[in-house]
Amino acid sequence: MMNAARRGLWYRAGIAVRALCGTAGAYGVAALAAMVLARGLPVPRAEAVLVATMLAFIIGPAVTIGAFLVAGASHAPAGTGLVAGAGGGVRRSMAWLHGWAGLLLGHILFLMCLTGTLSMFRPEISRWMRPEVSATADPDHATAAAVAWLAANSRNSTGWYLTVPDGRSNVVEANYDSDGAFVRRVLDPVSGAPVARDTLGGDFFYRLHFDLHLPYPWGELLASLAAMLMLVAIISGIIAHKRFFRDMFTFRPGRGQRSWLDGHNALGVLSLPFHIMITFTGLVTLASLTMPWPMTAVYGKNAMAFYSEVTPGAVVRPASGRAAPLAPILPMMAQARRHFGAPVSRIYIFNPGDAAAVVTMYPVEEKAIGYMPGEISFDGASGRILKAWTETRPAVRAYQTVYGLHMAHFAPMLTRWLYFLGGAMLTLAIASGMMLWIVKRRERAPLSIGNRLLERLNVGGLAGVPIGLVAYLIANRLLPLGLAGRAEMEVSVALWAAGTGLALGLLLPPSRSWPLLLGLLAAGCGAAALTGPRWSADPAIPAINLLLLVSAAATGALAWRRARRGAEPA
Amino acid sequence: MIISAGLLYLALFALAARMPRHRPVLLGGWQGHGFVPHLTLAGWSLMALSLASLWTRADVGIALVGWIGLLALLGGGVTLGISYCPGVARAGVPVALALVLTGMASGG
Repeated sequence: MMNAARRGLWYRAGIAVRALCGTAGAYGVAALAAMVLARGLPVPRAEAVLVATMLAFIIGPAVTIGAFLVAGASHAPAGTGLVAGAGGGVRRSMAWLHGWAGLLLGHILFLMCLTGTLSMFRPEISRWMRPEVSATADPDHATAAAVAWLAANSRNSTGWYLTVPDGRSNVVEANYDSDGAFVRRVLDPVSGAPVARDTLGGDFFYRLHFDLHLPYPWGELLASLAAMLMLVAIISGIIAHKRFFRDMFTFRPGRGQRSWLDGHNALGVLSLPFHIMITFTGLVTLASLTMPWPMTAVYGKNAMAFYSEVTPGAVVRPASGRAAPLAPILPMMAQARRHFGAPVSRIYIFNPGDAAAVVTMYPVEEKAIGYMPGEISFDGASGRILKAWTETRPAVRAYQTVYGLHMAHFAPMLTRWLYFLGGAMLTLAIASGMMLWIVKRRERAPLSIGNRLLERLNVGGLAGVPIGLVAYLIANRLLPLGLAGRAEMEVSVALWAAGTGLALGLLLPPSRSWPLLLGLLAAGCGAAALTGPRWSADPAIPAINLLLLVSAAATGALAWRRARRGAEPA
Repeated sequence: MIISAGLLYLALFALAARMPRHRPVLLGGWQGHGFVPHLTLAGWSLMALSLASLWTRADVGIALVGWIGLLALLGGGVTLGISYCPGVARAGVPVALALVLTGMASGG
């Protein structure tokens, strides 16, 4: 009895040591290694920092895996690289790590992956949510109209940040400050005035994907931690999977735990390269926040020096204090187009209305994967070129490529759909993993209190989050157009709906909450499609309606199945 | 990309057909044929060919990302085909062959 208790204590202590080494230890080792690399790599210092930062996100998960591979917990602190021989023990410890790494922030990962997947069609969703903006203008004239409106309607601004319309978006998105307040407006392509329907559109999904609607920097930090755990879960899942190739095409429906496992494996394995790519690149996009140590090791507190070396094309000059009108934007855009050999995608205007104003333009990113491959800056008052830069440094291009792979701005429509499919498979892999945890334990023995709570949390999280997102779409249709703070209210509706779904999941037994919440989700998808814009020449609108109706049918069928199962005697 | 997609489907089909669990469903009366033991080599070779066919493209990076997506799409198709509709999975073979030939005839 005493020995069993001691063994249990020893086991728990071992897990605690490994977990500590695999989290704080792994981060410390990765940060330290990246700092050494940043100072030691024989390339210019800005490039060394970028390379070291990317490598840190390979070193970190490797150390975590190592901490759980060592033969005994006592080895973990010193020998994170000591690998226990291949065999059942390794697979068991990797299966344990896979389960816990996936479970710990699984609901956050589900939210991140679902919203990230939807973000693939951010402009199209925005078009669906702003059907009144049916007019189109060529990008040059839409930008000129927006600049004219901003010149007349912003005061004491230090910068206007504009996204130029393209084949997918028909509005100018403007972020700027006016009298000290930060403002975001979506501007009509013809009049340049803000559009009638105040909404965040698809941007809500995009931002929720990485800031989780939490105050900065907590959302980004939590998202980054979740992504790190996902990378660990993916790698440990590969090592734990005994029949990786043999099970590759296997799905046996209607067989309880076996079906869940088959589904989880198939979703994970068939899209594995995509899952690794999207997780690693996602980590790199938040690197400046989560892995600043290589930069600190080289530049100390002078982060601006790093950023100016990474973007040598940028022109930074203070406002002169003398007023001067902005030179016409159209000739500058024409020059930028000639320089890039591609249309302009973004325009930043610093110190507008000042004699020292600077206009910086960036090309569209459809020629290559790399993010922001170049820039050109003009003197705002005269319109003459100040500086033009095309990025060719290999390390910077590599970093931009990794970043661009995650953002997918380069992706043509077919590739965008394939990203959507990969994202959907990852979302389903996470959801099926969470379900599998419960199904597996229920088949062995009655569920513990913790697992019963998790089971209810699964219902609330996996059904509540989509309910919140659909409620956001419905709110977009039903809230009056002129309502003050309309965009924020749409978001509030989404959060309250998701919260209600979560609460219902926690309060009701799963046999009742599953059919209820899935039924609500089906009704919500149907209502969003029916209340949304119906007939339009814009192909995005009927396509989204169709997707909503298909989702309604699928979740409705699931709800009906769960309801029937709940009605059957145990 | 058409050639690559066709070759990838053939590769995945060959790899699945080599597995004892899926062989009867995918090959039917052909499962005792002499070519069966060579399906693994054929599958991996076709997959390598599918990847190699991307190298002729100017935008090889973008094509490679597309290939990763196709792997999920076609792999999922083969898996669902085996589970629910083996006839469709089998019918995919001549379609994939036609895609490869069409791609070759049209130069890409």
